[in-house]
Amino acid sequence: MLIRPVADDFRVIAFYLGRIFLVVAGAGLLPLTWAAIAREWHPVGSFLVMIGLFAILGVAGIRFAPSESTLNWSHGMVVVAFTWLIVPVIGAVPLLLSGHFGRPLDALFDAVSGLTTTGLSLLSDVDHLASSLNFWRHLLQFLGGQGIILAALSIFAGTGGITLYFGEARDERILPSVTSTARFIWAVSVVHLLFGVTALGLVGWLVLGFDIDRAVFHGLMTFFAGFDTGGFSPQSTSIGYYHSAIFEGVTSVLMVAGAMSFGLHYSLWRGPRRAVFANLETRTILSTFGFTMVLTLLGLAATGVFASVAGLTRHGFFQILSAHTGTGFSTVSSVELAQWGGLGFGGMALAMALGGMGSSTAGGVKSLRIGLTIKTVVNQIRQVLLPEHAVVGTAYRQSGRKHLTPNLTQSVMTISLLYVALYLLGAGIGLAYGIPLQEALFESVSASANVGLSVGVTDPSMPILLELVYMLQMWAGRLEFVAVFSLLGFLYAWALGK
Amino acid sequence: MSIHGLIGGLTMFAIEALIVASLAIVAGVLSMAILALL
Repeated sequence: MLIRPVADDFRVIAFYLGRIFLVVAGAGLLPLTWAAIAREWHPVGSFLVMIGLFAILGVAGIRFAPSESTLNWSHGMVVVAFTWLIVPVIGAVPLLLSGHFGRPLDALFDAVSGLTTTGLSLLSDVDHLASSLNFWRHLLQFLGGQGIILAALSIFAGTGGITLYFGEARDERILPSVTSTARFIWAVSVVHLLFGVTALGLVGWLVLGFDIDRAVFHGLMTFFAGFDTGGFSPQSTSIGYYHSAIFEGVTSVLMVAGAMSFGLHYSLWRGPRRAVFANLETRTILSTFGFTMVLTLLGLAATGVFASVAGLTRHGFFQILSAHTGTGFSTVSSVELAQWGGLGFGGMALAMALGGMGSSTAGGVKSLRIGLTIKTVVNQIRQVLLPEHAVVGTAYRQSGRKHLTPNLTQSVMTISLLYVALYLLGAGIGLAYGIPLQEALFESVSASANVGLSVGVTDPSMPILLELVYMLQMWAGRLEFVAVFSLLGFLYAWALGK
Repeated sequence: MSIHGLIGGLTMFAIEALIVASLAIVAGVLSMAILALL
């Protein structure tokens, strides 16, 4: 029997939501300051409205619902799901007021895409968007990649922090407390920000001939979207705009760093570094990356898209890395991408579907689940082939030695199947609108796995239902279903519980 | 952030750059082989 939530449940949820909204209101001060310095007065007003809305909701949550109740698992999941629903709605206000969107829903689409680090966009004329609004789009990706909740947890520590932390699709606590883990994740990001922006800025200034302001701006935006595997770009032609192999190289480092789990970052930073290569997830992602790269390169070579070794290596490698890490940057246009076809197309779609590592900023099924699935299948085969009483090893390495238990196997299989269902949902709706199967599936996987590569289906003229489905896919894919189902269960219990 | 921490961070970034360079070399060799075979 479902128990109907009582007033105390709503108070706890409102209280934690209020604290999170206040943190997001604080983050909104950054683009506001940017707009004021750049003398972009129209966006200043838009950001003030947005910050005001976040602040009102935040104060309301805290003032009207003070509670000492502990945040339980269900509350935590509902807080996470609501956070990821409400923040994009209010975060879309400056985008909506910019006049760069045909429909209000399109601005919401971009905010959801930004926050979930997807990178699909319905924005028209991005090349002439105010710099502060561009900064806000990219900051949304940074906040989403790091985790809005994680940002809040770095500031306030609470009894329910662990629930919120896991609710945001993170399954690894690197340090003993959630607050120290959250702060370590921010330290990793700051290091990449320092080195990444410096390297990209220098390339922009010395190689591309940008003036310093412009070089730093492009470096910063590319860092936000690259390290958080978001894929937004201040230019409509994405990374292809720079026509620079060095720029693509530095961006590739940021994409790989973004797709790595923060547990591995910890090993790389503080040792033991050998643990990185013994890790099941590292081995899995290297194998799947190699496999999808062979497929893609074979497909591209067979169809004659790139006839030279340099062209095939540079474009094939960058695109497949962008797809597998879930970033969505590209050096070819969506029209060219749609023409790839065959194995090249299949390799890219598979890479997107598999995704990066768990507890990273990347989306997709995740390499840990792929590795554990392969291990389960191999164990099943060995069980059949070996004598009846033979013991099949279930150990694997992932931040230490662990064992594959039936519960873990069930969880891995369930989430993986849900991802497949999510991929098929968008593809099915796309097919119903007459989009060819290949393109419908590619775009659906791109949205669900929070990648952002597009073959042109995502367009301001796209059907509203398809737009809504893609938003749902981005949201559910980013939260890895658990928080989404908890929210649905909470609402169901509220409506029909006793 | 201490000097020790900064060196650790720099090492982390350098290893990630090496991983990308290695993958790019593998992609180059594969491209050469594939184009030679087809």
